[in-house]
Amino acid sequence: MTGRHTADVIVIGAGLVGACCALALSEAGMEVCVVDRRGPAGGTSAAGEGNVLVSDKLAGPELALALRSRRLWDELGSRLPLDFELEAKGGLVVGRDEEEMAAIGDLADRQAAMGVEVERLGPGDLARAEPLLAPDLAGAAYYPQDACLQPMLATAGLLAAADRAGARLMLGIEAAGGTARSGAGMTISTSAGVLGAGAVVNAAGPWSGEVARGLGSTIPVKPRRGSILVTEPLPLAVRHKVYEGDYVAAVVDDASSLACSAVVEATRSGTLLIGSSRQFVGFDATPDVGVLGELARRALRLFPFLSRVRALRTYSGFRPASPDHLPIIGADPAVPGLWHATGHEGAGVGLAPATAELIAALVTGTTPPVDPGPFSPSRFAPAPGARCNG
Amino acid sequence: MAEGQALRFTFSDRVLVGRAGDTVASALIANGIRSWRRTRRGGRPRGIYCGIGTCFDCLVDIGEEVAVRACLRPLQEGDRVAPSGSVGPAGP
Amino acid sequence: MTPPLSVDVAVIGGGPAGMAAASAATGLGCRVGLVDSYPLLGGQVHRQAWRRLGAGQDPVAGLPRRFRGLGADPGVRLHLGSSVWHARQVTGGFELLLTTGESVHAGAVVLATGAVELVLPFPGWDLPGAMTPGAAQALLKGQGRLAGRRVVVAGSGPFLLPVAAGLVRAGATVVAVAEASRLRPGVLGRPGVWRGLSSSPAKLAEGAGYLSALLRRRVPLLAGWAVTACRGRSQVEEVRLSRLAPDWAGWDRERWVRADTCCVGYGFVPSMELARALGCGERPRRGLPGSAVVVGPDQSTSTGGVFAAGEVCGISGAAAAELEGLLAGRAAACWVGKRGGRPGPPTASVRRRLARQRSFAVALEQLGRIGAGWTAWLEDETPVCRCEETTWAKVRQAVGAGARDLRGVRGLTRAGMGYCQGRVCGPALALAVAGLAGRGLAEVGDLATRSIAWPVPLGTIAHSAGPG
Ligand SMILES: Cc1cc2nc3c(=O)[nH]c(=O)nc-3n(C[C@H](O)[C@H](O)[C@H](O)COP(=O)(O)OP(=O)(O)OC[C@H]3O[C@@H](n4cnc5c(N)ncnc54)[C@H](O)[C@@H]3O)c2cc1C
Ligand SMILES: Cc1cc2nc3c(=O)[nH]c(=O)nc-3n(C[C@H](O)[C@H](O)[C@H](O)COP(=O)(O)OP(=O)(O)OC[C@H]3O[C@@H](n4cnc5c(N)ncnc54)[C@H](O)[C@@H]3O)c2cc1C
Ligand code: FES
Repeated sequence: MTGRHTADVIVIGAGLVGACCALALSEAGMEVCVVDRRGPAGGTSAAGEGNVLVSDKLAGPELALALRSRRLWDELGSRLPLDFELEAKGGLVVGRDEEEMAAIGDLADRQAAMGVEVERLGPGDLARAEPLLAPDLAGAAYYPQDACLQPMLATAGLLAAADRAGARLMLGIEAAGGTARSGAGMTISTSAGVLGAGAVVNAAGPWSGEVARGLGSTIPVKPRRGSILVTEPLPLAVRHKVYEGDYVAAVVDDASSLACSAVVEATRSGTLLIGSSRQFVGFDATPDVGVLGELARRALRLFPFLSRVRALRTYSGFRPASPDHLPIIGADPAVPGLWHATGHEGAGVGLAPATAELIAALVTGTTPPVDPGPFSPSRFAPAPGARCNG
Repeated sequence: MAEGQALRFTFSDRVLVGRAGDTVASALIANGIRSWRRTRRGGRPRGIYCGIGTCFDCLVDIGEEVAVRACLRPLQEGDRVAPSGSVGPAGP
Repeated sequence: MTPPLSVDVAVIGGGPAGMAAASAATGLGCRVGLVDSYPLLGGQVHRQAWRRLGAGQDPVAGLPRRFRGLGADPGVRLHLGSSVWHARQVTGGFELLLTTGESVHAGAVVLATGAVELVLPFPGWDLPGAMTPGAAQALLKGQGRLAGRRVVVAGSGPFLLPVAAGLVRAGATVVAVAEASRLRPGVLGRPGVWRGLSSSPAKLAEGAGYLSALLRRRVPLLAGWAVTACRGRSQVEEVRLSRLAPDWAGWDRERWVRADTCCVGYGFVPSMELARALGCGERPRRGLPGSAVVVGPDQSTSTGGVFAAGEVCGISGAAAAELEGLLAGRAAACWVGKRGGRPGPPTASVRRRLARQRSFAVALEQLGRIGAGWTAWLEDETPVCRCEETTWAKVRQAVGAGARDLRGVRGLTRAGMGYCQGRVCGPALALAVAGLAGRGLAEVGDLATRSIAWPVPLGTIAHSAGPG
């Protein structure tokens, strides 16, 4: 089967990453078709917090990508056809004692060397910046570049812009499998028939491992569950994104048992979002109030006034996690015509535009603005000697 | 109709009288007050809607208690009732 | 953390279903914990006057005689004025977490959480004075207060009649009672309808009683008419009654009437949050939004040790709720090993009576269907979600942008994200989105959450939600 030629590029997944890729590829002059089995932001992009952070990145390739992405979000903020509540509210990483402050300061120094704006706050400054914080905290690092947005609106805005740039949306359609075409490109089989394209971009988030398998490849993406508590709407009570200094440790803590760290922030509608938990439990979505208890206990340590504030609901989602906590962006080493844009774990919102920019450059053969090497899918391929031919 | 002991309360500085057995909502309605807060976005007036605690349209602040459902809260002598949103959980 | 209270059977909900379940279980020797959000027992249909809350008052005297024993029964512990915000399985049974911070451990659970009213938005439905029929009724039964002086009662279903009759008896002027569906003779010929209706002469007589009270006071009774708008400066002053076209797609006649209050409701939707938290199997409701718990002949759900009774299993009326409660209470007692002598009527006869009540309910459901064209009366600026003030235009835009289910629409419009978590707007939104997206009700899903059934202070979550 060759499949009728549907587009130059088929993007599988209409989450934030897929939507960004669709827009970037369309604007690079490609004919793009986006396929999603649900609607826009039908997966993790509707189940996260929407932060665009530089503060939580270790000094390294991910931070370079994050800084680039932060700039691109600003641009998108001024040109997408929909207000997606982009706001540079700033991040505060707080420390409980001198030891935590030393670790926070250490990271801040290394980030600053890569161009991150960061400022140290002592207890007095911290209390002025965030008056309802617990009084016994040792201080904080303040990151004015940290921003947030509403991911579902952003996805809809990106897709609307992609649509204007000529991209085609095929929603409610599942990609089941596919193969490389002889010559060039791929055919994929979907619930709406067989489609053919010069290139396929796998942007299926936590499901991208399954999608890759269907397309004859393997990438090591696993779902990492996270839960969020949402409070009743309040008058402005928390001004920044505030999180504990041990957050970065929780991200790289690979134990499948619960890793938790308090993250508190207000949304434009007045509700507070309280995270964040990390669990490897497959795609199990069973409610787990033990996790909610842990989130609440940690949040109260930061903001004691929250004790009387009511939670209205909770939601959870599955982060697309890669084993080395770096995203997987680039050409598949084994299947020609297949590209991956996935594995962003808890940073896909922030990293989506720069990821799309990389993909568009790689697919069209131009020079990318950020070194794509560290994100290449081939880093997981078996060593050359172990590869069997045929 | 039901007779209960008279209870005095205030709504935004007006002194009003309800009776034992009233909810805060029914006491306001009996005093001719049908809306007691405005919505956050559109500033639209709101009073009771479902009457059984489901819709949260009837929110009031009562003294230190914030965003209380008026249709579920038994009226008490001396209640200081105010439109919801006049005090935040974080303090005035 | 406070040590949890241990009982054999925990009953959630103190309406007829929950009270009957608690009575049956305690009669078989179980220790029972009965939780209800309201400060008095009774639920919706047996709502008591709140003046019974006062010191020196008997808090069960307003209940039908058969339930009054619950007040003094040493085997029953009442947790009133407190809501279950989460229920989960733990070793050896179940744990209920209460908004008061208490937790209750039980060997078996009876879910009797009832239903809420099904409402359809219309222009002006968020003006003060526009409310549900249940709101007017609760004010009257609970507080002895009238919701207004000149009232229009409208919507669909048998519940409109007792509400209107109660209002006129208490001295209000009921300007009109408008039932949106039209009773066409052909409907009676549908399978089961005639048999169902004739199976419960007592109910027909009850309905006739309300009708004659309304006719005696010359209240106009309209069939095939609906409230399609109301307007006023700061509260309801005028109400538009429209004679609906088939399938409700528009109307051929309309009339503005002066009224200060309009009560509009289209039936009920089961309250499923806790059933979902406990993983109970559910079934869609034919042609209606929301789902109901699936139960076996003994009211058992698909989750072992969890039983369900009353409107949470489908809308069958108060008499059916009570019979189901009796069966559920017995089965829950049996589950925890309490069989004892079996007081009360034999199970077979309870089931026979229940079957009659259910066939009556099924017949009524056939008479009143929501016409697919109801959204014709919405205007662009009509708020569809009261909490977030999401307009009808926004909902249509969201579907236009590709949203294909309720969660998608919620993410783009905030409809259903407010305090009530979509309890009010969710069912109507499901109907509307299914229509716009050309999908079935089951496909567009609903907004009922699973982890937090009612708003709960973070301090309470921190204090009572330990590891599972
Ligand atoms: C609790 C939580 C908090 C978070 N907070 C943040 C944050 O603050 N900042 C941040 O940057 N990131 C955050 N994240 C992470 C972020 O949400 C994700 O990295 C990001 O949404 C991933 O986007 P995506 O487009 O790759 O995946 P998704 O949004 O999951 O999109 C994948 C899409 O692919 C579709 N799909 C899957 N399989 C198929 C198939 N076979 N055929 C067709 N379609 C298919 C799905 O329907 C889905 O729409 C958080 C995540 C969680 C869970
Ligand atoms: C507003 C309203 C008015 C009604 N009036 C009538 C009427 O006059 N006549 C009639 O025949 N039918 C009426 N009905 C229909 C009515 O639901 C049934 O006839 C009957 O009351 C059903 O009994 P039930 O026990 O299943 O539920 P209900 O009587 O509704 O009882 C359910 C109880 O569960 C409690 N509950 C629910 N969730 C929780 C929780 N998480 N934690 C603690 N408690 C909880 C509620 O507070 C409620 O008291 C009314 C329904 C509503 C919604
Ligand atoms: S009127 Fe609906 S909660 Fe009070």
